[in-house]
Parts: sequence; C-alpha cells; structure tokens
Amino acid sequence: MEQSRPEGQTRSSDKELMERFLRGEVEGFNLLVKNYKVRLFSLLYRLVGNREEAEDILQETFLRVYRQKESYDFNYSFSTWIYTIALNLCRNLYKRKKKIRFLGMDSLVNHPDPNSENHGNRNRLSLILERAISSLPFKYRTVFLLRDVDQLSYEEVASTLSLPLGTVKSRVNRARRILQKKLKPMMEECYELSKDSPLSISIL
Amino acid sequence: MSCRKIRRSLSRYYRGELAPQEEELIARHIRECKGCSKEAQSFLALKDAIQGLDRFAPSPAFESKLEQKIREFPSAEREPKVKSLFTVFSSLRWAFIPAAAMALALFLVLKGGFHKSQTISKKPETVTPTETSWVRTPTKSESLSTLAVGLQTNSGNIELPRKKKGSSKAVFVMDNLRLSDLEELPDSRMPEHGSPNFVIDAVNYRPVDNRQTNVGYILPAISTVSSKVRKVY
Repeated sequence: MEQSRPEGQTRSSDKELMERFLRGEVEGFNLLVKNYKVRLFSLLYRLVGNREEAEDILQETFLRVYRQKESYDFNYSFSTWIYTIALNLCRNLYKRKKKIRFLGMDSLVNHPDPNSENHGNRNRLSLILERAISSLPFKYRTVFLLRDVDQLSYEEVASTLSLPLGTVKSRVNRARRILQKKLKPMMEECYELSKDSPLSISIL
Repeated sequence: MSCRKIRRSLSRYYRGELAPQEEELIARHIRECKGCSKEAQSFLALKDAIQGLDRFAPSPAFESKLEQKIREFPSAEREPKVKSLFTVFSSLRWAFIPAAAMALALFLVLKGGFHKSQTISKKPETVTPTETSWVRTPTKSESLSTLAVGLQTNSGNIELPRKKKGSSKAVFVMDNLRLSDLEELPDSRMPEHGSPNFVIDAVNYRPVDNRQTNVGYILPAISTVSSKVRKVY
C-alpha cells in the first residue's frame, strides 16, 4: 500500500538506500542520515523547543532505524516510517513531561541558531511566522509543520500520525486559520491590505 | 469576477489548479486591480516565508556521536540484556500478592484440616511459566488471521482476533503479558489505562486510533514480547 508522495524520485532512492543498508552496506544508512538529519531536526526543534532534546530524539530515531531495519515495510515510504518513529518518540517525551516545553521563539529569534542554513536572511515576516507557529497548540503545530513546511501529502501525514485523513485535513485547516488570525494585522500593515482580505494561506 | 472571489482563488491560482480561462482572467485582474495585486504580493510573501523557514542542523558532532552509539550496539545485541533479580521481582511483585494470599489461605485450611503431626508434603504452587511462541515466524504481508494462527501460547490466553460482522477491526488481546513488558517495546503506543490490547484494522493493517501502532511495529513487537516472556520466567 504505497502512499502518495510529492517527490517520488527522492523517496524511491530512500528505499534503494534502505535496500543497500539491509544488504549490509552501512553507507546506505549513512546517506539516509545525511538526507534526513536536517529535515527531522528542524521539525523536532520546532516541536520540543530545545536543541538537546531535539538532538536526543533525532539520535534515538536513527538508532531505531539502524536496530530495527528488518521491520521496515517496503510497502510504505521510508519517510513515513522515519517520521513516525521520530514523532512517536516526541509524543512519548510529551507524555512523560505532560507539558512539552515549546520552542521559545524569543530565543530562536533573538539568538539565531549558528547552524541555521540561511542564517541572516530573516525578515520581519518570517520572525512573526516563527512566533505564530510556535504558539500553535502541539497537535495543530505538528500537522502544519508536516503538511505545509515539510510538504508531506495529507495521506502521508495521516499515515505518520496514525490519524484519519479527515482529522488531518481539519487540523491543518484549523492550524492555518489560527495562523491567519495571528498574521493578518502584520500583513495588512505591510501590504496595505483591505480589512476583508482573506489572507489565504492554504498555499501548498 | 469580484475582487473577493479573485482573492479567495489565489491559492488555487498559484497552485495551477484552475482552468486556463479562469487563470487568464485572474492574471489580468491582478495586473489591473491595485487591491488584488497587493493581496497577491502578500500571498506570495507568506508562501515564500513558510517555504523558506529556517532549517536547523544538529550539532556538528551529531554524526560521530551516533556512530559511537551504533558501535556500542552490536555487543549489546549479542548479549541479550538479562534482567536483574530485582527487576524480575519488581515486575512480578503484583503477581506475588494474590499468590501469597492464596498460599496463606491454603496454609490456614490445611492447618485447620490436618493433625498437627501431619506434615505438609505438598510444595507451594509455583507460578506456571507462560510461554508464547511462533509456530512459525509470520511475514509482514500475512493476513492477521494467519498471524493469529501462527501465534500460540501454552496458557491459551492470547485471544485470536475477533472480527465483528461488518467491522474491519480485529482485536488482539494479549492479556498474559505484563504492561511493563509492553511499555518497553520499541515504538509501541499502549493505551494509558486498561488492558494492553493492540487494536488493528484487519483489512488495512492500520491502527484504528492514534494510540496504537501499525502492523509493521506489531510484528516485531510481538516477537520481542515472545522472547521477553521466555527470558523473564
């Protein structure tokens, strides 16, 4: 049951890497780490709000891929599998702590991450956007980040989070509406928009 | 087409989801209408901002730390983790309470029923080992019913999937397993309360709610539990 995927070529190469890894070529695993470490770390960092914890979860995610490689089901995309592992670990952390410490966007905004790939290219909009995303409730933030930032398909998000497709769609829409509300004043000011601007952010 | 309708169509317009005539109409409108042009600009700015959100990289030492962890792993895999006596006792402590109560009751009955000179030759009843084993190892593509047939236990307390009429859900009840075992399973998400049941969509091999996990995890999980049960007792 193959999930639909936006980047078929990239994902099939993930499977090739996994096949190489299963044949005993560690290089396959190393390339998977290279391909996913920034993408997953960005997601985890935005979810848990703490570099060390995000890095711990990332490490555990890759360790599980390494240790449980035999359990990977080639009928599913690799990205769905690895995102599921990472998000389960994240959720476990959330359960343990009861209340996850969300990313303090102030710290992110005021002390830009030295490892950030496009450090220095921040503008006011992206800062406000980061703040708005960080203020989203956990469940809405997760789906928004997966769908609109990491650009997973709705089906992949549903599969990753083990949620019905309809629930994912409604959560994404809800997340967008919350962001819309938060961003509207700034957008109206910067772009001199009319008060009835729909400010559609269902853009992806 | 009104400005309001144009603005509401912007996302579909930029995704290329509109018919060519409609697309042309919107393009012309944006060129001519100042308000809608600003709206389009703000839309694109927001789109760029979302897609251009910073990507964060883990620390430079991440990969070497990961490599080190992996190097530590093979030895751990060769020598399966043996539970300490304390851990075993601790995980069985609740089983001892009814066992102790029964032993005490048995003792009192026997004490009352026999002469003092009569010795009790019968040893206290020991906990029956529970063994779970695969008749044969199932593959991931096997149906759940095959999987269930493949799973047997000598104490008979693993129920086979129950499939209700008209329902695609099958329920694995694995109530012979301790919750503590299940909690240790990789990536398993157990219900917080109640018995540790796995609920799986029998047709699609998909979890029926977000607390459970998919069959890709269930199979290795069951294997892990099986070996763990043998190991603990």
